[in-house]
Amino acid sequence: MSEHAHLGDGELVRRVLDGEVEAYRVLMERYRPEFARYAASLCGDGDTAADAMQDAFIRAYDALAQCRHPSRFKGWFFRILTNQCHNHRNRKRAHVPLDAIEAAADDRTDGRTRRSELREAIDAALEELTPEQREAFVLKHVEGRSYAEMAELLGTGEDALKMRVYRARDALKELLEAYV
Amino acid sequence: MSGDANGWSPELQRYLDGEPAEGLDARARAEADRFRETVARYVASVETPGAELDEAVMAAVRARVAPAGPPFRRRLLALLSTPVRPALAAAMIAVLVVGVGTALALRLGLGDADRTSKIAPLELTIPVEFQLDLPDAGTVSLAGSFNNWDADATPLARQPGTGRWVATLRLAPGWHEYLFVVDGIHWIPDPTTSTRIVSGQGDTSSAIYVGPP
Repeated sequence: MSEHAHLGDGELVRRVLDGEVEAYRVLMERYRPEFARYAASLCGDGDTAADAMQDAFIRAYDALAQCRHPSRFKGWFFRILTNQCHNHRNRKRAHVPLDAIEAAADDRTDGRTRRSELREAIDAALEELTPEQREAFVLKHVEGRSYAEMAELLGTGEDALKMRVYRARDALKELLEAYV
Repeated sequence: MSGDANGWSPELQRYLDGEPAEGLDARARAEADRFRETVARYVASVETPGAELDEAVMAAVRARVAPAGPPFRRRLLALLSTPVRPALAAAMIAVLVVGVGTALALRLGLGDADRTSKIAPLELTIPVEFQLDLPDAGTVSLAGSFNNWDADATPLARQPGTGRWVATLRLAPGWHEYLFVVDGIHWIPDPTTSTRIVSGQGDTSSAIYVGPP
């Protein structure tokens, strides 16, 4: 464990800005595991999520001096990561057209194939949501966060987030009818 | 009832939020539970980036000089080796001249106190205009290193009667990377400049240099 692991985000940011580059590793070890599943669900696959996270951490490092409230690094980084995930997902979508729902519903053989099909079907269904609905749904159902936590991360009111989650669920209910 | 043709009933939405299942019949609850299980199976199948990512990022950041500013000499060399259109070159020289002049004026005004102080330096910013000719676009915004790549932070305004989108920003001296975001989803480099920066992941951004480092 790093000698800096006990330090708060604000202190770590200040140390990085003072030239202590290794302090950045602690921030990364803190938030890579916390947001990895969010990134993977938002991007649709682990490889794209890895690219998005790597890009986000490097961009956050480059822009660290612009983080006005170092103690709120988490929320600041979360926005950068979310933008990178949408960016990478859009690029991927531009190159790989997905019609996974129909393909996945066709042929089910064993459990493994079915798991993979389910994943493709949900990825494709998530694709149908707006970016805001996708963020909210993933935070609620994949991350299991409360609306209060989501409001803090996204900087949006709880009622608005509930509405996004409700609409996302309604859309997914229809899109995933074959699986539910 | 478990819901209607348009989605889940309000009671089921609350149940899916984790509230008690009061008033829900067994069939409706079972349907909501199946939905939750389906999502849980999906969550279990998602592969997530692991610790190897940390090493890749640390290698990249160690190669940088400091987070406060880009390695100026390296970027200047990159710029000098990049073909630049005459119009862009003229614009950059103009920005440089304005920037140097402003910086000199500010420095002269600061006197000796500034040389010994460790208080945050005076924030010098220079207006820079960004333009994109794209008549078919519904919205255009600017995402870059100056706004943490937030696609919503800096919308461009459409000039009435034209297909030109314009925004003027006050930017700090130094290098800035940016992309235009068209209709909220298409991230494109600036077609009026060939100055590009390619990240380690192969992503290309436009780049502009403003004033002195």
